[in-house]
Amino acid sequence: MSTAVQAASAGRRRQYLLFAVGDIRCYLELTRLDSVVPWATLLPAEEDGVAGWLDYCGARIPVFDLAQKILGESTSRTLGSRILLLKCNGRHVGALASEAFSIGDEEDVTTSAMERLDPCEVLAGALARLP
Amino acid sequence: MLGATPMKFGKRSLRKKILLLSLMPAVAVTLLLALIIWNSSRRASSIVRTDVTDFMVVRTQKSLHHGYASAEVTGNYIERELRLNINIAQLILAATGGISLQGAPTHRTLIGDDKHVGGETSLQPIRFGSDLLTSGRSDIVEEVAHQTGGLAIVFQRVGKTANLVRVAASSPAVKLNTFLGVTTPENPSDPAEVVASGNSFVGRTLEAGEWYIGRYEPIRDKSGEIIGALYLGQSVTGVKSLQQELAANSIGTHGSVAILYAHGPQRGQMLVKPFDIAEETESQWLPVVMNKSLSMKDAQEEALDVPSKRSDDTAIVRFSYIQRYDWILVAIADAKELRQAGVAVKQEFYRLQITMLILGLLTLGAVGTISWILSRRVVDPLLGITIQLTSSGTQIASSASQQLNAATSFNVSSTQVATAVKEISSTSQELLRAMEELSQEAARASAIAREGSTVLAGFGASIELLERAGQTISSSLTAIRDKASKINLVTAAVTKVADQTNLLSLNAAIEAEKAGEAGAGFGVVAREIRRLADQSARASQEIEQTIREMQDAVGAGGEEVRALTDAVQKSTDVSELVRAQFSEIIARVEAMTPRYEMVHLGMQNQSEGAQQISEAMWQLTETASQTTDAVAELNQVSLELHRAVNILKQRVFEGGDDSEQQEMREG
Repeated sequence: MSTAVQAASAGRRRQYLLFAVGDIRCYLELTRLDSVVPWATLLPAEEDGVAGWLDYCGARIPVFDLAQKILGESTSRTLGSRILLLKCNGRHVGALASEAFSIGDEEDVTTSAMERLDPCEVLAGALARLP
Repeated sequence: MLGATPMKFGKRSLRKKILLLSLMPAVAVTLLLALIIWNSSRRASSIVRTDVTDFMVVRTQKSLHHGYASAEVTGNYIERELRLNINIAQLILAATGGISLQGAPTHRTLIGDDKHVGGETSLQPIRFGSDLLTSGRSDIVEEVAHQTGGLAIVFQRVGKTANLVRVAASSPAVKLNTFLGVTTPENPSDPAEVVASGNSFVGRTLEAGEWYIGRYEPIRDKSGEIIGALYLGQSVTGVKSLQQELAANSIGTHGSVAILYAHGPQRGQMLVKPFDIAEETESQWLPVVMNKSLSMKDAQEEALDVPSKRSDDTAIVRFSYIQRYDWILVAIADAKELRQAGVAVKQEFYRLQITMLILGLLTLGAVGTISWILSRRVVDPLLGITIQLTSSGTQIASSASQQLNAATSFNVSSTQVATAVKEISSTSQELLRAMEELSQEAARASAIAREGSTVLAGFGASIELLERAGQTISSSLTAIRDKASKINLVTAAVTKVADQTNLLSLNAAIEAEKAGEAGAGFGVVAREIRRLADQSARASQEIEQTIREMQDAVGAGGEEVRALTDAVQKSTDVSELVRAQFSEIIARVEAMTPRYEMVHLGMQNQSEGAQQISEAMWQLTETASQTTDAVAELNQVSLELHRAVNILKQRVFEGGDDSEQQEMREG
């Protein structure tokens, strides 16, 4: 085990979360993420573009449906559906993804047909309208 | 001459009436009975020829098909169970770290036997998870055997060859030597050769001197190199429920089923022994079956008929090869079982026809003879006597000596008539006895037909047994389907756990990434956890797929069992039809009995009438004899009177001498 750790430290590479929004396969640096949680029951939201409110460790976090924003179709709820928790401009935000299937390095994301997707960039307009 | 013509006409008319009145009822009754028996015989022969003769052959083939279908369903179930068990074993091995080779080759002593090459050799040490195998015993292999309930063996590959060495084994039922010698493949289809080429082997294998249905799966190290094989097996001899089900499959009253091995060291050994006619003819069919088994293919059927001393007929033998178990399934039935009843009925009808023909001819002959005797010995003499009496009455008045002659002639004729009537009476009694024998023959034919009906009832009971066996298999398939549904619930839970583990590994990776250099080790752990979660998810999906295939197979098996049940129901219908036809035969034969009694009663009345005539004729003869005596006395008195008158006439009118006077005194 110690040998494997040393090897990992010596040739350390940036790690990415590989996830899917509808049929689109995407990646995002792990350092951008706070956590990944399963699709729990959301509290109803009246705000425009917000899919619901997530009660996470006592805090109410707005959750946005990435598929709705990008493709115009709502994400179907399955066993593999995930909510990506991250901070956008200092605010905790949840982004709903169809699946978060693995972790990969730079070689993985460059040799496969994936595109980088930062939820903060996609949700910038919606976040600006939130109180 | 004027009086003779009407007398002659009267005699001929009376004879014709007697002949007609006697012959017509006898001819009518004989023809009617012959027609009824001929019709019944024809119908019985038709039934025997079309339904009964080939019925046992079809029944034997159906038993063979049923046996093969049951073995096929059980075999499919065992193979699918083995595939599931291999998945479980691989999960256990993966969870404990897997099997790998490590370190420099060390010295090993291998145990040899008739199949394995023993001796000294050098093998690289094999590691089970974190344990280095030293004694040939492994807790992991024992756990695999315990979880799968069968024989579990791990083989180590000898270098790059296809040779395998047994390094660890465990079985709940059999004690095994570990570190058994090298298994050298004999042909490309040998399990060792198949494993060396990277494929799985499923089939019948000989392990520890016993046949198993087993599966070899290659074991690879981390680089993908094949370093050995994992074997899981289920004992063929242990398929007890299938053997018991097949052994209970009797064919009719005397037929049965036998199962024996076709190849290997157990060749010729019987798993299910035959009984009754099958056991009695075993010395005749067993050599032929064993000889043909060497070249038979799976599901191939062969037919054989052998003579049977016991039934004085042939035994129907049908056998099939079940490659999966290396079994020869033999079904033996008694060809005479139903044919015997049919032939007996046919023979009895034939005998009845012959008897009726003879009795009919005898009856016609006897009636004709009686009529002829009556016309010749009764009618003619009576008319002659009447003429003689008329003539004698006239002559008595003129001559006493003519009266004596006439009386003597009458006496002789009466005696002859009495003798003839006695013969008639005797002939009538013989006819009575013949009619009684005919009635007994009809009763015997009825009893034999009832025996045939009883045999068919026994056959119906055998068909009910077969129907119950089909229901038992159907219940077993339902139980398998229920258990498969439960396994589905378990795999769903495993899938959920794998998903949760995957999520945990993602968050662990995020935390490790945030920790930077300090979290590198944690990142490696997170990757391993994620890899295990992915493997669990894939294994769970494979199990789900396997369960779906097993459920499909069970569904197909259920359809086959339903088809079998339908076939059995059709056999029951045919049996009921034959029974109904036997009942009709019995009813027709029994309906003849009252007609025999009517004929018997008529003949009895005829016999009593002849007896009364005989007694009357003997009385008439006695009276005639007394009359003859009286006429003789009268004649003697007339002669004496005539002599006395002559003497007196001579003395009074002619003067007689002393000698005449002396004659008169002496008279």
